[in-house]
Amino acid sequence: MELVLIAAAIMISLGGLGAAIGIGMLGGKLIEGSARQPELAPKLQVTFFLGAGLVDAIPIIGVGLAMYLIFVVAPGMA
Amino acid sequence: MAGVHRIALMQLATLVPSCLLVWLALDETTALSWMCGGVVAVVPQAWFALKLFRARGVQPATEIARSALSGEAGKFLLSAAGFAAVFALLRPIEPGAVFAGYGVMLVVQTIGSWRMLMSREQKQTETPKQEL
Repeated sequence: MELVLIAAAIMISLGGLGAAIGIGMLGGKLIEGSARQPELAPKLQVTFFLGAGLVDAIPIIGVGLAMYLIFVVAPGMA
Repeated sequence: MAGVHRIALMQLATLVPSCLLVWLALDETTALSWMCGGVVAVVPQAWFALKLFRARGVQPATEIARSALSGEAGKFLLSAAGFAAVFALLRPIEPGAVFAGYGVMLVVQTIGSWRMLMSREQKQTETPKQEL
């Protein structure tokens, strides 16, 4: 049963790590692009926001699966 | 801002009929699970969009970064709390339907965002440029 909790923890942490790297890259490119061409900044911001909204969907699904493991598969451990 | 509302409305307009279809085709438990998965997707996304599009435009970069951070953190926490509440409280539950509802709302969000970007670009190319 403890393995379920370890699996949930790994799922959440690795998903978060991937999203952090992705959003960091997106933000870095946004700043770089805005510095190069300030007139494009609002357009780049919109694209960044939409991209960020999609990038963090995968770790959130990971969190959802982890919650399933914690509350449904091993409810006694929670 | 209007585009953001449009995406949330599009998600709700997909969620309710799809939930009814699932209810008619399968059963009440699956439909309720589907609905909960959809709501877990729509509410955090609406929060994220609200925070970010309020800070959009010509504003100091620190202000935009702060809004992005709070929007992202809020979305993550709301989603985690939503999934935890659904899986802890909803009985009987159909986990596959929860994730299916979430996934369908994600697809609707992706399509809505893509269409919003395309229409924005189209508007910009159609607007005649003023020559000095």
